[in-house]
Amino acid sequence: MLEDRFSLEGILPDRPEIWSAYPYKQDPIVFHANMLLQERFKLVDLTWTLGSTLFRTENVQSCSASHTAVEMLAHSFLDWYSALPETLRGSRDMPAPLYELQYVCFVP
Amino acid sequence: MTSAYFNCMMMTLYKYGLDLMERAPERSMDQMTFQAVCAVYRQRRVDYAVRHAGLLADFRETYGYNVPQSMVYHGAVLSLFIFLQELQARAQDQERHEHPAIENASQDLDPAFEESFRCLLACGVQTMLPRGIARMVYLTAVQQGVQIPEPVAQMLALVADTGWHPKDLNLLESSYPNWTMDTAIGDGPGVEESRMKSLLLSWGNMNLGEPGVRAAS
Repeated sequence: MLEDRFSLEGILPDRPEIWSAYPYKQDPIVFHANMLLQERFKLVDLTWTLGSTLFRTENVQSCSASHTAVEMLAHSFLDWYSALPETLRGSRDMPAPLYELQYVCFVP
Repeated sequence: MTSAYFNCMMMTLYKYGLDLMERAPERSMDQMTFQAVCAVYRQRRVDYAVRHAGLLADFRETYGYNVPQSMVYHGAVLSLFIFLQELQARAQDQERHEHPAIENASQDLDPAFEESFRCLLACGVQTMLPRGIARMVYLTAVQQGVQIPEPVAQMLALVADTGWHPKDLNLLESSYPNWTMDTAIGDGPGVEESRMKSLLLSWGNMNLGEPGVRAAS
């Protein structure tokens, strides 16, 4: 796990920021960018496991072994999701997509 | 967008989990269990695809698609291919007069299909890649004989003038995978043929039908 090698919280301490989605929304929103990054790191880690489980041909196993592997992965994804901090939960006007939007627009 | 990412991961997990199960060299479980597990996977991938469409609707209503985001339409493509596979599987179930193994087989996919396709078309107004992908999804449906939902056909007819020009193909250079095809993963023989550019090229020659015109019916 990435987390074992270094403490993410130490490098990316949670600092609430005031952020506005110019030009789409003028109202500033409190946004936890570092928290989002920390969770993204964990998700990337899980994604790597998913890739190596599903797509590595040398890993093709028997049916029941595949089933166990898929179920375990599903569990770890759901655990990750349920452990998400409240500020990163999905909502209709979450600032997270716009954070990414800025990234896509301005760092092509 | 974290939850969009999450939905994509869950869709991928169950979609390829199902492939993995079907391809397993030894079937170390009895037929009943195998079918039950496959049905659960099939249901879950559809569930996540429908859920993703809900997220897309929220995003569209809040921010709109003026600035196309790759993350947004990538999820939509994945959902669309899952819907195509599901619709095809349902047609096969009906043909065999089988009791659908899937719980709510009559679950209406149309609104979710429509939402995902709208995302692609809207992003495609400004960006070539989603425009090409929308074309690929449509032609995949035509080629596999999948009946696309009526609202989507209407949408395609509406944008028929601006949605796709044959010359667009020259502006496009992409090997975006087609996830309904077996060869879409790995790098064995035949993979190149299942990628977007070559598919669109070959389908262009076959004259499979233009959006808005009901194909082969």
